[in-house]
Amino acid sequence: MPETIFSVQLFATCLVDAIRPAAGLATLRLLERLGVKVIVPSGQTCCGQPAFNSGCLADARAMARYTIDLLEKSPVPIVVPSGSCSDMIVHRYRELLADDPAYASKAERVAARTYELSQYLSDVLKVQDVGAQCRRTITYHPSCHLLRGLGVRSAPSQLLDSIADARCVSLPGAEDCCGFGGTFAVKMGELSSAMLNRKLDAIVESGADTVVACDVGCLMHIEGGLKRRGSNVVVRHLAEVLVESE
Amino acid sequence: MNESRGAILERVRSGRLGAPVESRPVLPTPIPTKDSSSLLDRFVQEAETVGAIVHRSDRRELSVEIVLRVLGDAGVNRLISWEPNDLPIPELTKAAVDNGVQLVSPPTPAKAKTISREWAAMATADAGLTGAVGGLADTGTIVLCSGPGRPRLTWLLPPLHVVVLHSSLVHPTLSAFMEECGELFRCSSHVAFVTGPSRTADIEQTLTIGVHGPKEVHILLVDHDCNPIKESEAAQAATGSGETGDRMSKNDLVQ
Amino acid sequence: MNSPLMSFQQRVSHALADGQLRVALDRTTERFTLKRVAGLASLPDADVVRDRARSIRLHTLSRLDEYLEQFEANVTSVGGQVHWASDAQEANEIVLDLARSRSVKRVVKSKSMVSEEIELNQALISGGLDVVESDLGEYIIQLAGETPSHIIAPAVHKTREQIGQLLADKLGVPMTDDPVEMTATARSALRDVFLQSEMGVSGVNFGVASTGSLAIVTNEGNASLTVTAPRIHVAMMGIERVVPTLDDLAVMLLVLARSATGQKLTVYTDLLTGPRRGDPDGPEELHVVLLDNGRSRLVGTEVGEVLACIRCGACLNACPVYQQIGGHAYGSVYSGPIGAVLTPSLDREGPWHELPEASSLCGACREVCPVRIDIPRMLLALRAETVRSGKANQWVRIVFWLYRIAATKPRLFRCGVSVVRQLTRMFFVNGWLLRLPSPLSSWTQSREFPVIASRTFSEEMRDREEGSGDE
Ligand code: SF4
Repeated sequence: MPETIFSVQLFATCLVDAIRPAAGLATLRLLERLGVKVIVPSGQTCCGQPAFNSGCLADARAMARYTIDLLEKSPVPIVVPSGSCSDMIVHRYRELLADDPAYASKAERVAARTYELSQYLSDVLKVQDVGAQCRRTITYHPSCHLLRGLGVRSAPSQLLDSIADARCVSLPGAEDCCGFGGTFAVKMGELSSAMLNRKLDAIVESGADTVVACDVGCLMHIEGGLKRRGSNVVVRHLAEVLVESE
Repeated sequence: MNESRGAILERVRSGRLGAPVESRPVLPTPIPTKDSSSLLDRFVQEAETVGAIVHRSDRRELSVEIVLRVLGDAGVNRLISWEPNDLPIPELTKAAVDNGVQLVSPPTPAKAKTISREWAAMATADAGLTGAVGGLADTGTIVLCSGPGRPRLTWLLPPLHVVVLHSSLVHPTLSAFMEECGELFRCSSHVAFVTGPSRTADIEQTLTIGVHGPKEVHILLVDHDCNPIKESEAAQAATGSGETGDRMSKNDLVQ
Repeated sequence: MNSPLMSFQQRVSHALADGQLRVALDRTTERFTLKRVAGLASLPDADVVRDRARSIRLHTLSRLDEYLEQFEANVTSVGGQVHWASDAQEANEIVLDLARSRSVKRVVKSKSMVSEEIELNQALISGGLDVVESDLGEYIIQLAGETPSHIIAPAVHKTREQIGQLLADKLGVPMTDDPVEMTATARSALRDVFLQSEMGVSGVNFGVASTGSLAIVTNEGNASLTVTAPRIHVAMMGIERVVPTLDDLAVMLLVLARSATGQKLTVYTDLLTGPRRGDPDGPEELHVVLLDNGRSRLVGTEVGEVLACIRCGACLNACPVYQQIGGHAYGSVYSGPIGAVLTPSLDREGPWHELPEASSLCGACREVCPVRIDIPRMLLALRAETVRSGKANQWVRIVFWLYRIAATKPRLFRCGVSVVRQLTRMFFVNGWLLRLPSPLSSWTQSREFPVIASRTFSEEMRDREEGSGDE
């Protein structure tokens, strides 16, 4: 084990917690394998994004304050295995709490040290190859908030390219939204389904057996659609494939 | 009306109170290419890219020849034109007429009140002949401006537009043109930047040429001495407008 | 703006079920995107130019009253007339009065979103005037008796076969699906219209404050003819369309063409500075109608940035929602992402609160916008406004209120998760829920829903801690 010089706190997000703990566990294992000391603050819940996106600002603010207090207990960087939740913390907390004298500067501080997982790996740890190995044909779906919110374009693909024995194939219309959008998927179910169908067609067309993304929301949306189609393409979080080795 | 004016301005004013007045940083202006030959090459290349046909000439006689050939090739019988003195090469219209082309005169300003009927006859012209007050190298654009001897419909109605442009009037970009020729807009009520032939993509985004304006645009880019007077209306504006007086006499001349 | 007859959800269903619409949208979306990408790429420093374009717009808006006054003074000094209209009705009356007092019978129009917004055509037609649209796309939809579905490509919802049939039916020409032939048909039909109309009506892309010039762009040249042939010209302009100087105009024209169609410059860019002055042609009278219709109220508000929009249409083409449903489903003349912000902002009393919901907030619009308008941020602001004003669905508010209570009390949160887990585990099949009750049923109509994990991440973490404590 390399000497520990990096130390982070992991904010797993509510969807990882309840729906896809495997992504959280993989993130933890991956970071530890890379020599990072990881704290998982207990009592973490939800960043408030669903309420924020639905216009329930008072509720979103309450959750943001709660999460900020939680993350301010330790000064170390925060790693989030989700593009949209990182975007929420990095960009939206400031807007949401700009007029709150007690929290405005805390929001800034937390935002400044929050990283999405692939961002942390490539920008801070500067790793491009984590030594993973698996026999998969992988296609990568860049989730919207990671891509356009945080501007992370190439880091995840580079990490995937480095996996031994895996083949990466390109996804037609990769940057198109999968139609998840949180409550959008329920409020505008039909529209969201139409967008999802286009994404699923593209996934099938890519010839991949595994779809990888960095956001559990998109993953559960795509996976739910694939299941309904009876497809045997599997869905994985980036961290899950990066810790694989046979 | 006045009520609305006051109310609208008041709402705008109260809304912006306290809002920061954003300044707009000035872009480093593109350094105009000193090398005029590369500027012209660029112009030709861009104009051809957008579908114009460019001819070049360094002799006046050659220019006349080219224009006659273009008109001949297109089988032009009826021509509408800017008045001779507004063309960089005034003898062009006479040469065309000598070559058997019928010149359809634009209505005089006084008669032009009944524009529709007057111009209905013009609408049957096969070609329009104009000069130009500028060219933009970056986009392959020609700049035209209206005036007493320069009817606008000449470059709009006929299926073929032949335009004579002096090479010294080619500017690198639209921004450069605006910077140098701002005065033009004070003296000409219609300045047109034309970039290639008329086109549409309204049916399934499929490109189709010549929907309302000309299907073909021929640009004759000339290097030789030209009729200096109308090269740029800007100069005229700067020295104060002599508009009506000498314009009318010029009109008479043409008739 | 007229309210649509169906609800937004119905309109969406309708659009999604329309096979012809899907063919038309699929055929064009890609062409649009390729063109725009190529267009912006041809700018050596696209980002710098976009930043400049944005700052020009924001600067102008922050001093809009001054620039409007300057613009008015200059239009007047070159012999034009400026009319101010607070709302649609006033604007329509101004144009109708002008037409009547000058014995106008025929009006030729070039495409103008402002006149669509105020439904000028209907007003003029019911005032007894003949009105013909001259933009090919607008001409097509006018023949079809429809409204535009795209800011810059009004007939984008129609396939070429549909258009061929329409021309055959309405003009008695032979049926064809060849765009070239159809275009030639329209050219000759519209020739006479230009020459016989006494009044031309156009939109304005930009009004230049320092000179009083109106910049109007088209690729077809129909606006050039509209502003030239008829005796009287009326230009319809939103009050936000001012730019300070000709230099600013040059920048705006550059980004407009590239974002709209991928061209370096639109084919015809006409600058009209006053009526004709001793020229043989051109309008004898030039009128500018400055329309407010809800715009001035937006200055300085959370959605004030929409006023920076230059109507290039790039955000429509980039939007995955627009690509699915087209423009008509939005129910208003302004569709797509910008429409979802603009429509409810301009018409606050209208039935538009669902439009800002019609977005997954993917941010594609913001990425392509030549003036970098943050549309998702404004959609969020409008959603918040809906909640504040009590128009939001009540269960949404209750759910998030409960969620917030739980999410700020970790023990309660864990309890909640277990309860939901118990519930979901009663109905699952292989770890998935196949059907959920309304309103969640709209998820399970096309997708399965995951159950809560048998052991959540926080439970795993607790065990891990306890485990390490034992060591
Ligand atoms: S919002 Fe931006 S991209 Fe959309 S039409 Fe307006 S200027 Fe164009």
